[in-house]
Amino acid sequence: MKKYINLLIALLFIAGVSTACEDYLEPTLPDSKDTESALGTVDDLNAFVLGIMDDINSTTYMGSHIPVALAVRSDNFFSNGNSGRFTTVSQFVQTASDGYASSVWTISYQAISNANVVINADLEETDEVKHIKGQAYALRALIYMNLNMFFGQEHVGGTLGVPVVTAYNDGNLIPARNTVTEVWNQVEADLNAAAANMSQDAAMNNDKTVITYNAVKALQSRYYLYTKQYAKAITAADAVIATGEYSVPDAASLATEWAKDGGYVNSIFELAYNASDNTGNESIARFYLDTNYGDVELTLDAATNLYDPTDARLGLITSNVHANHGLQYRLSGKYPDAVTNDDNVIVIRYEEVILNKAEAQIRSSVAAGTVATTLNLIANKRGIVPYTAATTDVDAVMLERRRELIGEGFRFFDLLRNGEMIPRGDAQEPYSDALGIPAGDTRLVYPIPLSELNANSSMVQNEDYNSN
Amino acid sequence: MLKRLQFLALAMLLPICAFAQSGSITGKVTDAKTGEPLAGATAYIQSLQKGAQADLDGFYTISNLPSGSYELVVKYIGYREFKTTVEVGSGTVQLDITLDLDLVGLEELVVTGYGSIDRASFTGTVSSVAAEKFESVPVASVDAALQGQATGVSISASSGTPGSTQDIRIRGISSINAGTAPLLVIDGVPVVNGNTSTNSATSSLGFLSTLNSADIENITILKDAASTSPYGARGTNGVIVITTKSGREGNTTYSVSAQRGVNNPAVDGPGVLNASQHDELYTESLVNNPAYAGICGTTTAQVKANCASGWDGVTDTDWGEEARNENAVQQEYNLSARGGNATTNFYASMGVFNQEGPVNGSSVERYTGSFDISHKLDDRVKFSNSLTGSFVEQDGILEGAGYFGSPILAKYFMLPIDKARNDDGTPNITDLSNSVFNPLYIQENDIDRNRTYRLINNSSLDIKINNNLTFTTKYAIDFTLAEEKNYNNIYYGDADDESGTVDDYTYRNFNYVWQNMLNYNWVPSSDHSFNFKVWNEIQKNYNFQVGGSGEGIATTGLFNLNTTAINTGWSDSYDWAVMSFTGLVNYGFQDKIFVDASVRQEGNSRFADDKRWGSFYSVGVGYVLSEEEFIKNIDAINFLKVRASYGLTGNANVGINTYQATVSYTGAYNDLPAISTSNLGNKDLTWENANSYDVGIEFEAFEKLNGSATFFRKNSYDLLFSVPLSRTTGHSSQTQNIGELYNQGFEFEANYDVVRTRDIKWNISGNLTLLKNEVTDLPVDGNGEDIELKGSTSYTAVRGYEVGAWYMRKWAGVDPDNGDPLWYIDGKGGATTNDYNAAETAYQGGSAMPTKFGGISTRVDVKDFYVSATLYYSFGNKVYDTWATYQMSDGRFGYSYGSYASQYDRWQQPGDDALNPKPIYGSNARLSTNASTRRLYDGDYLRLKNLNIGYNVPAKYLENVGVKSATIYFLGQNLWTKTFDDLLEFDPEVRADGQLDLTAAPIKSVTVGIRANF
Repeated sequence: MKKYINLLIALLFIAGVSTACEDYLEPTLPDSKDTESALGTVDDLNAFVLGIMDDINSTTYMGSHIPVALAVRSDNFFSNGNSGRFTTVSQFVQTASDGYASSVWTISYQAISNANVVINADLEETDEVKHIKGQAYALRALIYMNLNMFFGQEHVGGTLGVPVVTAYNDGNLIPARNTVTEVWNQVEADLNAAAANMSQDAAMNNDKTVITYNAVKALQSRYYLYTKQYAKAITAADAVIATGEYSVPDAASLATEWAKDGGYVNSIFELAYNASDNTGNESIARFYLDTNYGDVELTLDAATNLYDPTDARLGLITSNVHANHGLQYRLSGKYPDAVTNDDNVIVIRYEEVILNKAEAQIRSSVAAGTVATTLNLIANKRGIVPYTAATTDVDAVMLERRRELIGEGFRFFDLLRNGEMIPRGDAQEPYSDALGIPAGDTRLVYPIPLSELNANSSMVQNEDYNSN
Repeated sequence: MLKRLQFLALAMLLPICAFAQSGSITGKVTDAKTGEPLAGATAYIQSLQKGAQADLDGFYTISNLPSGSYELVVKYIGYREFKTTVEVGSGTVQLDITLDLDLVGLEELVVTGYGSIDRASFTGTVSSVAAEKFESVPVASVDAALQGQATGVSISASSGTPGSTQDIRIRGISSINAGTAPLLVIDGVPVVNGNTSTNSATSSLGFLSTLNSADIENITILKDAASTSPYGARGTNGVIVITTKSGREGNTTYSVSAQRGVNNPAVDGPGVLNASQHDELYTESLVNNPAYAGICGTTTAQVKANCASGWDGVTDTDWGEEARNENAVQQEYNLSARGGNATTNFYASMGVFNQEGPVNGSSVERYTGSFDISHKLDDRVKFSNSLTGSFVEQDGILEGAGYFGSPILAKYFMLPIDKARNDDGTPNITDLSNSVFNPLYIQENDIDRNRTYRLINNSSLDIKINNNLTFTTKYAIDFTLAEEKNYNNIYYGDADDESGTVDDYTYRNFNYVWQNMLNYNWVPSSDHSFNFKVWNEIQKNYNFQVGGSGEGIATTGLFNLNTTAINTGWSDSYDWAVMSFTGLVNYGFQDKIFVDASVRQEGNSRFADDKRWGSFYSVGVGYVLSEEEFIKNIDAINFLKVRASYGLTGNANVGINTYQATVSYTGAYNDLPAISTSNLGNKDLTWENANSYDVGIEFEAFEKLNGSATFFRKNSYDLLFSVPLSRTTGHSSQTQNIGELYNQGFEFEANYDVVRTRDIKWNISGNLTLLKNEVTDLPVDGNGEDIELKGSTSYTAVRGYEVGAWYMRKWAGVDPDNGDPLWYIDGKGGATTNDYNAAETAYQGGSAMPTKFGGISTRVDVKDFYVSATLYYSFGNKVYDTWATYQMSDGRFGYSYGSYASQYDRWQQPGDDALNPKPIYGSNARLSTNASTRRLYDGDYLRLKNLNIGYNVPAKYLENVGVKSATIYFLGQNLWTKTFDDLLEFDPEVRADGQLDLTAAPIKSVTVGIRANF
């Protein structure tokens, strides 16, 4: 009898275990949720927009790599390769496997996929929902604008832009590149959709760390300037100026204003950073300052020829003597916090809007005196001689733009879009060309990343870059 | 019925016994060939459960035996069992016994984890490694000692830092994105394996480093479908079965061992330019760059005057030497006791192991204790429990990539013109030419520490339901607690700007396995025997991690998050589960033909509801030809068996939750929670499958030679393939069941007793593995083109090539006319170009995986002395110098980092046949230092893995001090290494991916030790 009892026990063990099968093998999802059930409320929608912002403020995107890469490619800065970073970018020797190209590409489309989820969300179209969707349109426009400038062939003799994707998980796994014009049209359409959807209430425009209606107008001034639609650029800029919400800090307060951690009087849209972002060595401050890994130095040209001695902006530049490398110039005033590394990074600010307007004016043959008035909104606050009709021309506007926006990622594209070469700003600039990089040179755009080429057989590489 | 008769007979004898005088059996057990006494052989009478062990001279005595006829069984490890019937009367029966050597270990039990089986009747392919091969080898992780000992198993250290993980591949790489590491089984229970460290920037610490090799009885490696399929998916990459020591009936034996030694890098690695060479190249490269003519001048003198390198003319620092821990000390002490009686057996041990690494500040310390007990409640029920506890602490380093705080990097990146120390002896941290941190300061002041606490407990209950049916239940717990601390000091280095950083992580992993098994023996006639097993197994793993990072510390000596000004924390968890039902049958016909077959249903939490369960099976056949008359008559052949197996195995080793389409909530913006799409998911995701074929032959001849030859092929299909996606989808990949590849090869083993006499023995053995793999099918995209997986220098998966095949531009040397770098335009040969981007990338022959490898061992015993040696060889792969961009820069980075000494051989004038191009300061246009075969080397090497010289102290010297046996030995490990690529200066033993990635080099060591039994 005993043996049958034993057998029974044994069978019970096996049976007992097998009844609980299905639950036993169900895994938990600790940090995520099923995509289908994730977007149900306005709060979810808003959190998705913050997801786009989380992508955008990544240090490998607009948080530091984009401004830094554009800085070292211009005649204002170079990478001394101190920590081995930004050397390929600064030397203009990228290959298809370049990490800087792939991170811009990858994060851009990651952010776009989040924006697409928001834009196509099936929620009742209340004002709040419309505003949030408007934010997603605006951010998508900003990202496509960047993509078109980094990868598009507009200034290197081609027509290809980047693939325009407007829906998440739409089934097309191998989209081909759209033309530069098609991308620009998408940017324009998105900015218009954003403006139409978003609230113009002052209360909805207070928070500078999220995108607002005013920021959309400011971005339109940039977009229309870049696409040479000058009248529209002026109109958009005027809309921002007319709000009276923003001001240009004067010479005396310039340095302290920059030293603030966000909420600058001149900022229209800025990326928030807090200690919890833990940006460390990848923070923008660590690149510009004389820190352990401080790779980015001002060129001799920018440090010594650009500013009048009375220019308050010289206060943002310091020099230091390195034990072995001698005298170095640093942009120390704009992103000064290399301790907690949480300087907010401005995406668009009031001065740029003014400069966008001034450039649109001078390039659309507005009277020089009128342009001087626009420029003087800045010049008067910088301790330099005010502009007059006699001293205002295209070169003066571009020079003022270079001075004001130094280190923020504008100079390189300003030269590019106006068909000018990138002049050598310093003997230490680590590329080989004696005078600089000629206009139209294929090295001026990033390669399409190898990871994309490998996964997408519809993709076409940019000229002179290898595809393997 | 038979048993009942026996009982009756016994009962009838009882009254007689009471009157009979007791008798005894005595005699000497010796080797049949050599006549050598076999100390420790056991003579045993099963019916009386009475026995004795032979003493040092081979004598045994079993006394107090009632008169009668008994079956006496004499056993000794490595010899064939001897059985005879003895009539015992009132006196002493003198019975000398000679035992024959069992060359192939026919009686040897093959441990499969779910049981064990006679080797002769086993149809699968396994390799066994006996304890003597690894018990005294001074390595923190026992798998490191298996190199060269088993066919089909390639092992390479991921780093030379003590305790680091080993990359083990059994019969090649049979999967692309799913795991390729074998399953680890300890005492029949699958356990957690891999790396306990979560920080990829610092040294790894293997789970296996928690095991004390002195506690291991043997290690068996299961390779083919017939032997691995009972483990299901987890065993698809092979299984390493570790059997630990357990109690043994007999007098308690105490063993002690102690050893101490020193270690150094096995290969010194490339030299670097000295200060004057550096200065010379620095100056020359500026002269060579016209862009600097205006600033620095055009002659050597002008450049020296205007743009000096900064050398003081005196300093000449060898940073490798500075950071090196010369003659690093290692030591190990073990104590164990083992014994038992007819009902209760036990084994208990404790051990301490301590090893410093080859660079300053790296070390591992391990403390282990284990206790194993088994108790028979009655002759039907047996309970056993074993508990192993361990604590491992590893002082690691930053390694494995270009970390400026890494002492490995420092050797190659720091400049010889900088002083290592100030005049007062403190490390120089102020006057350095580049941003690399002085390792002397960092190693002294920073902390990269891993601590692992692990408890493994196995309980098992065997119930003999009747003579043929046994029920076993087994419950095993594997609990690991790991702590990591990474502290960067407040003054200097990575956290200088933040005034110190602390990162603390701790995680606990709880894994349990519960097995229930019924085992039934059925012997319908003397010709046929069957064994059936059915079992169910469930396994669940819970992992919980919590960590935090902080910065801003007031002063030195404070290492906790509590003392940081700003800190953040996080926690995370995951779980997975496996459930299976398996049936297994072994059939034997007349000791001639054996058949094993298994079926298994397995469910895994990594797949969706309706895709979760997979069915797998295997069948194996063995035919012992030497049992047939026509072979039996051939004297030369002692044993001959052919075997074949076939099976379908599965692989579920993909990331947890990959099948689910998810959005992630881990992001935040401006301290507000953010949502982001995180995984595209694939509801159809299911098992990766493989068909495995295995055919082999095993033989023994002339009573001197034995060996085996095996052919295997494994076709993997429905690969769990991480299909790269166009990034425009917002995702980088989606896991799909697509693609096919195969692995095939041969394994050979041979073992030859050249001399076998009483005083002199000489044995030679060797093994060889030949391997080949190829990707045969890949997913296609919407344009009908293959979706290939490529890294920057190797094909992860490209149709027609092996996994990990190297592809890159092919270096064509230096143009003698102008010193330009040259590459072959088509990547293969022929026409060359000096334009990097004009040269094509191409397959460069070979991958990181060796195609021919194995070991050759020999052992010579002369009286009480012995010498044994193992030579490991590995051929057919290539290794790539990942960081040589900087060390072979040809001036590209203005010599701001150190250079290999080989850079000195550079082009200087037309006609020079130089190794390196003309050095040009800061010149990048040539891209001479970018990825090409200039940095790819043949990885072929030979290495003297072990050299062991020992002396078994004769018993006559020991008896007086109460010692049963003692051995004194010297052990040298990795003493000699020979590479075949003239340009390769690094140690060719690198991670499985073939990348020389600034990790600590493997070590060589010399050790002296003693082992004794009381």
